[in-house]
Amino acid sequence: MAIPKKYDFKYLRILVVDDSKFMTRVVQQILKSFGVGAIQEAHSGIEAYELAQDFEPDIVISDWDMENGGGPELIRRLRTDEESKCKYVSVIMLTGFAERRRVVAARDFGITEFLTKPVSAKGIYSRLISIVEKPRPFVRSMEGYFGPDRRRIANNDYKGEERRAEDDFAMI
Amino acid sequence: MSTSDGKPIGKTDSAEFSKGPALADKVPPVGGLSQDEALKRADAAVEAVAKEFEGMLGEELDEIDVLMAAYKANPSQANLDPLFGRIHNLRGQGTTLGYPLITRIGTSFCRYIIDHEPSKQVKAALIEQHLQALRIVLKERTESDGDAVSKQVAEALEIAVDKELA
Repeated sequence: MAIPKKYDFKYLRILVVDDSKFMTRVVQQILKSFGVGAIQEAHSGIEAYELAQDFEPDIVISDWDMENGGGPELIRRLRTDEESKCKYVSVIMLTGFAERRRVVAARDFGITEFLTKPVSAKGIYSRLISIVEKPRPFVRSMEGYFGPDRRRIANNDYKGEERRAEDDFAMI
Repeated sequence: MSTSDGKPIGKTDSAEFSKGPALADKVPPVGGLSQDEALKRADAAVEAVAKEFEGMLGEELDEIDVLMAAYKANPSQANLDPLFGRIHNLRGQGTTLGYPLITRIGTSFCRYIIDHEPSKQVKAALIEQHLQALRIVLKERTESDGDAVSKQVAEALEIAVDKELA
């Protein structure tokens, strides 16, 4: 019988980015409950980029739409700015809308995981485990893409509890 | 970033592949909480935050009213954008914090703004009805989606938006 896994997140560093302070608080509380050791928050893409250069997070959890630099702009800078120290950081993109065009766009600017709001503890947990258990190689294509390999279309191998319907849809 | 990040691992005619971030070393599968324990603790923490949401919601709606007044005085895109941003955020928080009707009404509002025909002026009256509905939810302290009046209001708004977008 397999021994149940008890992931220890205490060495993990996560940067939470959302222009709603209430939402960053919710996500922070969830991460603290999981035992994540180092968490910082930012409220715009611009602030997050600067903070990331010092904090050097393992994972960025970012909202899509924000004033002063949204999620897409943040990811582009983290991945491609010459001086960025976080080119290979894993990114979970949060968004209120999961239309196909958004999912495809997010994939094309180099996110690692996608999560639709409303946020749930289960949704965040499943994305963290996916990042830990299934690291993706990075690709630099001739057409200019740089980021996690986009060929993983769906992740149906997660062995945790059953996810909500929107979580299944949101995996890319 | 670990030392192995970015290490070349292969190449094709159209792309170069390198090692991505490997967090397994940083996150061992022993020594922490089980998934059930972790989720139970997190859900309890979210519940504690949710208790503060009601007070925050009242203040947020007051600020949204100010933005609405500015939009009515000058119905420009520049005045609509901050209004949209605030309600969009509420929409994202509602269900997480025990107010599914806030999310439902917010979704109706966002759908109207995003999908309306660009050549047609957004109707301030319809936006205001969404704000009034959010107030009703707060007033009745509807912490589940079982409240009949609030549900009817949300439904009526969805129908009104459907008509506008048809």
